[in-house]
Amino acid sequence: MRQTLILTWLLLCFSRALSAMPSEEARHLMARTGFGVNAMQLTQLSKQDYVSTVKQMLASHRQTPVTPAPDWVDRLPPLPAKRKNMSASEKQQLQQWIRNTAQELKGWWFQEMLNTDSPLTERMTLFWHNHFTSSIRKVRWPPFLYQQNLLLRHHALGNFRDLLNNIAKDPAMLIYLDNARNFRNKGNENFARELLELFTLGEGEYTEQDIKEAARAFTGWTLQRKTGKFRFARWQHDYGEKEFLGKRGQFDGDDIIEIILQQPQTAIHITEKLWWEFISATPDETEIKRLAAIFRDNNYEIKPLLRAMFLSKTFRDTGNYATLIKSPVELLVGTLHSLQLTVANNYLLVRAARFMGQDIFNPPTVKGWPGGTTWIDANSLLIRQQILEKLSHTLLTPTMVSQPMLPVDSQFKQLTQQMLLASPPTQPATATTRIEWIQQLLLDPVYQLK
Amino acid sequence: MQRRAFLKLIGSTPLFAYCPQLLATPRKTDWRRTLLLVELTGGNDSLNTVIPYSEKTYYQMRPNLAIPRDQLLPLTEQTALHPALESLLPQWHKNQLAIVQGVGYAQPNLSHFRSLDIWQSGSGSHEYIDDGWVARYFSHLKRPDNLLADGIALGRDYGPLQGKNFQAITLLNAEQFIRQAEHQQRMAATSANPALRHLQQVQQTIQHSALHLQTQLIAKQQVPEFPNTAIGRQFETAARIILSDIRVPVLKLNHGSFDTHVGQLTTHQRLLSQLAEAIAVFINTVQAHNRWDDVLIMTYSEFGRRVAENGNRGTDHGTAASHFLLGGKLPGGIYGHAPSLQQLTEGNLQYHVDFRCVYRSAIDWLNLGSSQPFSAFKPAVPL
Repeated sequence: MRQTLILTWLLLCFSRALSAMPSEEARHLMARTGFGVNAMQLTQLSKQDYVSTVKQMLASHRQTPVTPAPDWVDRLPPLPAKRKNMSASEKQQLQQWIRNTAQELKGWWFQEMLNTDSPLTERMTLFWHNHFTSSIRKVRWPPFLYQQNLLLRHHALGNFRDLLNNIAKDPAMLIYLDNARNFRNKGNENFARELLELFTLGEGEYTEQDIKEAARAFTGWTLQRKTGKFRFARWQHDYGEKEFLGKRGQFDGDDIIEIILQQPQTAIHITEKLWWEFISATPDETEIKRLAAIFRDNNYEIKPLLRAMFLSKTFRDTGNYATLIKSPVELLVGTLHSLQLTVANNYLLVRAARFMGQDIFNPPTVKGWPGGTTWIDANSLLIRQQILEKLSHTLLTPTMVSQPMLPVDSQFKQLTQQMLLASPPTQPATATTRIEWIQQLLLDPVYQLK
Repeated sequence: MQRRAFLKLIGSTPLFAYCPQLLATPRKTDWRRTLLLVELTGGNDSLNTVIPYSEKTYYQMRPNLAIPRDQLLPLTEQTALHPALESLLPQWHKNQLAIVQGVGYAQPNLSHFRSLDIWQSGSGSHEYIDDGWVARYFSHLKRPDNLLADGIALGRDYGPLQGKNFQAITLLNAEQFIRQAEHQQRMAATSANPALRHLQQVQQTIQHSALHLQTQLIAKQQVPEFPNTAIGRQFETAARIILSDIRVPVLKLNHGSFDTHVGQLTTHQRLLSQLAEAIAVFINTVQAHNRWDDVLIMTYSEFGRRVAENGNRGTDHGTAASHFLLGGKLPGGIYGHAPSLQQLTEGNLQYHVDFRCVYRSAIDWLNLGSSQPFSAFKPAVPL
């Protein structure tokens, strides 16, 4: 009897693994890992099985953008000597150039998010941007932020150790957290502090003294103005012995990073953040520890961790649907993607996201955007509704909603609801034409959820 | 923001070294008063704001950053204000400006987020409390029906106003808020899904506040012209709310960033003068309508900054700081004593007044009910 039960259970699992996924699950997977799903994709995915879809999605991630680079990305900032001799109008011109290219950079990233064949890559790039934060506001040189964005994308689904080692030497980061000014005789602890507090271990896992010692190890890691690249200034480096997290040695930055990666807490901290991003607002300590162990056992490879997360029970649990809130970027890009809309100008998206609280390339603080329910307050909710309403007017131009004034039939109702909503609407839509129907779905509070 | 809600109480270190005695206040509830919290984000360099100008060490440790004697504004023989705060001098002379010195807490944390969390939640250095201190205070109170909201964030974030069961709205632009709110559905907040329930609650708050504002808020033209700065606009909205006789007990404003690691002098000067100018116009406006007695302005910041300047003509994260209280009915003056510039802990000032003593003063002043989270703390200023 027991054997029969086990056999039946095994068969069910096996068949569940190989059978086509329900459309709700297809929508859930795409909303959580990408920017949502359009009608064609929904139909296609509903023929595929879940596990191989996840594997395929991870296998087809990108390391480079599809969108061509703006033409100014290799320009270097003027050297201090030159800057001093600039006239007032030249300085003004430079500031204007910085403002213009900052806008272009933001528009470029939205373009990438709209055009990519791997939304997961962009979601992970956004995740790392929110983790290894830097801002145009502080760095004041958009080309450096562009380079950092390429770096984050390159390693987004690669190896965390590589990502960490590279971001520590990234020009934008060297400026953002002042390590470019961290010298043997004039120390600056900013980078060391955030490295420990935000980027790896998290608060409470080290002492103030550890920060001071780590800062000493990173002295001389600076930016060469002439090339705009990392340079190790030997004469600015503190070669003395340091004591860090209980270990002693003449550590440099690379050594500090290696010691940090030996701590189990690092994997747990990163996994926790990914949990918050992709799975749930409620932490599950046991599950997080299990996933963190997978991360560490795979030598900090990110894909095995993501695979385990997207295949986990909690992620797939239907009770977990619609429990996370879409970020402004997800809301905008997702709406355009699902309804196959286009905007006249990407700057409209850049501005809309800023009004909703997400000015990309300008996280509010080094901690990034807190996310979760903080995306929605009395102010931002109104803005979101307003923008969605505006976007829905573009449905009147040729889009996937052909003949928008046509009456709705039950097939249309079912398809659009499955495509757009993570759970039943709070108020059942009553519209009779297609465009009004979609508008009602977009303005339902459930549309804010994924 | 996700915070672990577990408690690790600190050891035997005394919680506060100096908190003046409480004056007995009659226990009556008066919801006419408004507390304005002004967050100086980034960690204000208090040493260059409230300056111990009679101490040689100040000039020795800040060869580039110390404010020259001929520029600062002396208040007493030991203490002076940064020249950018000139617009606050009338309040000083009218005894409506109280400066509390040496404000901080035991085992200070030098991280922006952690220390701001501590100040915003009113917790100890090793406690992790999710809700803001204002929200915590209000959880004990029964609100009257005619409040527009428990609190309004006029700047970007809620800070101390963040909390369960605390009805707060963000009001960056009142007219826009009212217009947009008209499109909202009416709904109850009943979902079992916490994310959806959050949305429903926000929607309800919007409905309620927008209706109030629409019927009561006076037009921009009915207040004088405020400085066209971010802080100026926030004080303008605050003035309109107060003059409209709209009941909102707490308003929160943001100013900054004061995180002046590099090239401090010009940034700090600009920020302080923007602040003082905005406050001056605000005070004149509410005073002209006889509402100044019902208002208390309180500054706070996640920490002060180090005594010695750094190598980049700036200062790094520090600890104790001085803060301001301004109000029509206030025993002005200087409270606490300036922390010693010689007895430092790792280059930082030692605090004397626990920041929760300042909160206690604000709570006593609001006078909304006797139950509150800081009853163990004596008020820094008797209000």
